This record gives sequence, C-alpha cells and structure tokens, in this order.
Amino acid sequence: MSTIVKHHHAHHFANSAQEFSASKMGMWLFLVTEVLLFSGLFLGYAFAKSLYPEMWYEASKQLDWKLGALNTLVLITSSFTMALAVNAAQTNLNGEKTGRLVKLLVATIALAGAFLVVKYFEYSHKFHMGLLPGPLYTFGGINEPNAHLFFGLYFLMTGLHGFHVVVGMGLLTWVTIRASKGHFYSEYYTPVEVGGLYWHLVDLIWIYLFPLLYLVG
Amino acid sequence: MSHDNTQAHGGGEHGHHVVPMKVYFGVFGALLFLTVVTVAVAQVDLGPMNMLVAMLVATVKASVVCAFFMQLKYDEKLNTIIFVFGLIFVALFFLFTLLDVFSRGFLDPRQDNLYMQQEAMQKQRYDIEQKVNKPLPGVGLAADTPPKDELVPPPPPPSAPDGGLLPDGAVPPAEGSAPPSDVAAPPTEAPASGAPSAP
Repeated sequence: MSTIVKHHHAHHFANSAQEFSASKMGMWLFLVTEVLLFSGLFLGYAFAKSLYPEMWYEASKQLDWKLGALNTLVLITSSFTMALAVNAAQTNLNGEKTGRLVKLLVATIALAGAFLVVKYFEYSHKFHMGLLPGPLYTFGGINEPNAHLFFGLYFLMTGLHGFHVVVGMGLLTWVTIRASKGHFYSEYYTPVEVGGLYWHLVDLIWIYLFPLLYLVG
Repeated sequence: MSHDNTQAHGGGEHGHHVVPMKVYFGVFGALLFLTVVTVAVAQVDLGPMNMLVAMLVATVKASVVCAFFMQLKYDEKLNTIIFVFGLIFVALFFLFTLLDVFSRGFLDPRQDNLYMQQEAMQKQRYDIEQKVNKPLPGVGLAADTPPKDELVPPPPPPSAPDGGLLPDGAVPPAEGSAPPSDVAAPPTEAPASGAPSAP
C-alpha cells in the first residue's frame, strides 16, 4: 500500500490544477440541481403544513425524534470522517497515508450503512402502524383529517434522501477501491474531493429534514 | 476566473489548501453541539418561534458544513457564487409559490369561503367516520373534493343558436354576424372612434 500510481491529466486540460478545478466546478453545478430537486419537496412541505397546521403537528409527533437525532449524529460523524479522508488524501505524499485514507472512507461507508439500518427500523414501524401515504394510511390515532399528506411527504423526502445515501455509498465504494490501489495522493485526489462534496450534500439535506419532520412539525 | 486565491503554480507543486486538523475537530464539535441545541429548543413550546429557531440553527449548521467540510471558504470564489445562485433560485421558487398560496382569497373572497367550506366538511366527515368507526364511501384522496353542489356554480356554457351545446373551445357567433368562416377576415368598417380614416 505504500506505492502510488501517478495520475496524468486528460489531454484537453492544460494541467492537473485546471482539471481539478473544472471537475470541482462541475460537481458544484450538479449539487445546485440536487438542491433544486429537493426544493420542490420542501415547498410541498411548506404548502401542506400551511393548509393543515394542527394535523401536521399531530402527525409529526408520530415520528420518533430520538431515532432522527441518532441518525443526525451518524450523518454528521460520516461527514466528519469524509472530510478527514480528503485531508488524508491531500497529505498523502508517497503513499504513506493510503491506509489511513482507505480506513476513513470505509468508516464513512459504514456510517452510511448505519443510517440506513436506523431508517429501516423507522420505516418498518411506520408500515406496521399504517402510517402511510394516501389511501394506504390506516392509522387511527391522529384526531385530524388528511394525516396521510404528512406521511406522503415524509416518505417522499426521506425516501429521496435515502436513495442519495445509497448512491453515495456506491460512489464512495468505488473511491475506496481506487484508493486502496494507490490512485490518490497529494497531487491527484479529485474523486475523493468530488465524492466528498456529494456526501456532504447528503448531510446538508438531512440537516434540514431532521428538524422539519421530527422536531417542529 | 482567477486561481490566485487558492492555487500555487510554482514548480509543479500545486498547493491545495490543507485545512488544519483542529479546524475539522472544531467544526465537528460545533455540529454536535448545534444538534443538541436544536433538539433541546424543540422540547420547549415557543409557538411559531420554534420553526424560526430550528431553521436558523439548521442554516448555521449547513453554512459550517459548506464553509469547512466542503471547503468553500478556501476554494475558488466561483464555486460559492454557483451555489449561492442556486439558493437564490430556490428562494424565488418559494417566494412566488407561497405568495400565491398565502394570498388566496385576497382578491376573490369566494375562494376563501370555498377553502373554509372544504375544511369544515372534511372535519365533519372525519368525525362521523370516527363515530361509526368505518370510512364513508368515497373516503381517502377523493374526500378532498367537495360535492359539486357546494361549489360556486360555473358560468352557464355558451349555447349555439339552435340551443345545442357547442364543442369545447368553440366561440358562439354573435347575433346577426357573418358565418364563422369569415371571423378572421379584417373588418370592413372603420372603427367607431370618430376620426374618419382614409380609404
């Protein structure tokens, strides 16, 4: 693991610094489209909550904020390990930090997996209780009409976010495999950086989803 | 686009900004602390202030993640500009949609009444369901639509001269006017503006 594989920048770039900043800018443009994608759901949230504030409050109490808070801690920690992974790649001069980079990436993926496990328990509880969208809603404990709307948005927002977690895990697995082959070092670590940006966005979305769904309702 | 704020190009060494380790730990600690804060504040009932505080804390957390974990603070300014522009468009999206949602009934009071009626009916239907303990027919998503007779009656459909209904989108001919094929033809008379026009 102590050897590195030299990267040669693609022929259409003047140098590897230009390649790096172009890749990064492309990722930021993509992240903007991701924010716009989620903003539609956030707007739907604002609209439905403004129509039925009492129902919203009652329905959000059906979510377990402790599990939501646990998942928030898990995702923040995974963002932290991801940031440290980028740092390890930046300071990996001759492959001496490749092992540390791989460990940090594996930790990030493991934390993403832990997030999904918690989400699985939450979802199966909701399925069991009939806290489901639209006509599937069969729960009897909320004394307000239209509570299916809340759970429709809950599943759409957390579902789309969970899908991003799965995609991020796949992306980081690919980065980890390449890292273990010694592809990333101080002069070239673009996939670590760009994959990290994607992962931090997943964290960013959750930072808003957690209070909106679990806390304020 | 200028690179000079982050990139050093001397001698093949390109100096990406390496964030000191203690910054990472500081940011991590701040994020954990703010998570505890947002959970703690949510346990206290502050009315509408709860939402404000929660969004404020979330925005501080998000800014910290963007600035340090995503390294926007040390990055080329262009990336920050791109991201902030995206957020401005999100704000526009929210602004104009919510302007519509929250101003319904300002101009047309019937609309407001309609929504209040809908809500009252849904509540009534729901209470009956709870009493008889089974859903009324047509419950579910369809329950959001009130019965037709409660709605403001639509304007009467335009009728053809023979009394039959015209197909959708057809314009009924004005009385005594030319047949529909000539509708698009330019008017032969001068407009009744008083000023005579040259022939």
